[in-house]
Amino acid sequence: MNCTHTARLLPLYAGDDLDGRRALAVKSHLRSCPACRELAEEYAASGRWLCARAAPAFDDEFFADLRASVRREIARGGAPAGFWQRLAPRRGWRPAPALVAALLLIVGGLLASSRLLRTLDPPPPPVLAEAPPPTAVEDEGFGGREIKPGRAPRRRPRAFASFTVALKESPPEQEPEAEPEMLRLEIQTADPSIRIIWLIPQDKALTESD
Amino acid sequence: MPGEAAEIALMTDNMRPADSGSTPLAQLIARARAGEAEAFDELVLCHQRRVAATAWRLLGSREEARDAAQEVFLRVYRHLGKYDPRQDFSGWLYRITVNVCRDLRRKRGRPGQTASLDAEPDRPAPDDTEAGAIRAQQQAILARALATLSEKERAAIVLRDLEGLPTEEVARLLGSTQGTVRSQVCSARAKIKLYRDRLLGRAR
Repeated sequence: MNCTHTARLLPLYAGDDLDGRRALAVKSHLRSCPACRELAEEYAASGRWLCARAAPAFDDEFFADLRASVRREIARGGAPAGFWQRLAPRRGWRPAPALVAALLLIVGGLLASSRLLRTLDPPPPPVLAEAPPPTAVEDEGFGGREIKPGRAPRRRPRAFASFTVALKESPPEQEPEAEPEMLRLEIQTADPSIRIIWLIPQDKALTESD
Repeated sequence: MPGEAAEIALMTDNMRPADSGSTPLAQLIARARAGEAEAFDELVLCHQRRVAATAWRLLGSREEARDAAQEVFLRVYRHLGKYDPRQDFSGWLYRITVNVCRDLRRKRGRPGQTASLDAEPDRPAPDDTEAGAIRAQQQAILARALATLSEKERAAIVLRDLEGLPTEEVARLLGSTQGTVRSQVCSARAKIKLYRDRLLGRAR
């Protein structure tokens, strides 16, 4: 091992960070090289110099203030991380308003679904028929399909459960704004107060085949 | 002082990995996890010196060390429920301290550097005796010496040389390999020696 190689390894040798083989090689070189031996001693002294100055001067007041501020922050933040805090680790999250909002959503969803189930009918295909009244959807067949009275409404996929489509010709006397040649397409949504009305030129309207 | 005696006793317990809960430290942690405020206070009391000293060595500033120590204990408080009693509490605490100091450096806009060489040294300790003044001066010199290092070199040499942790433990705390840690420590020691040589007027 030459001096250049030894000088590169001396920082690790000074802190006992060399593996056995290389440590022995360095030690052997140091026995025969005064310059490297002096360099090794300088590295050791540098390490001692560093450690001698590494003790910070923190007094009791510093630590008392530290403990007090920790207690203050904990008191400000509330109890240790409980169930809700573990669910929402983000700082500033407040569980109570979110819980209230979640409960309102659940209740609202239950009410909406119960109302939906009461007004749910088997999905009639589009028919040329009178527009159903806003508060109810009549059983209108399409293509000869009948809805037996007393039959429980069939559950539909949620996305389409609320739609019935009625294609009808707009009676001029009832819808003065519609052109006689326009076809009126009405879609009744699950919300009885919302109905979508399309006016389509009759010659371009899509008609259902029987 | 009773607090220091308790700290020494619990630090001795820290030297061996946490066992099933028979050591005083393990019992203290269990009580703190159960929500006992007094137990957590005692936990802070037992580890405050080590945490503050490590933070100061990593950050180079008394005020930043205080902020970092506060954040370390707040994180301990928040995550004590996640602490696995089978793992070493000291190692867990060191890891939090290193992460907090790194986050603090990045937050204050010094991601890769430590305190500036031109920065004002920390205000002297309340001890206004000659010994206190000498100590303050030595700490300023140390801060400047460590400021010549990169963030990774500083973390490696603080944990290896000043905290006395083995290379394997340092690598685990820093999320690195032993070879990388040795390389960083080697570079750091060379820079510290160079700084000291210049300070003492020795040019090589």
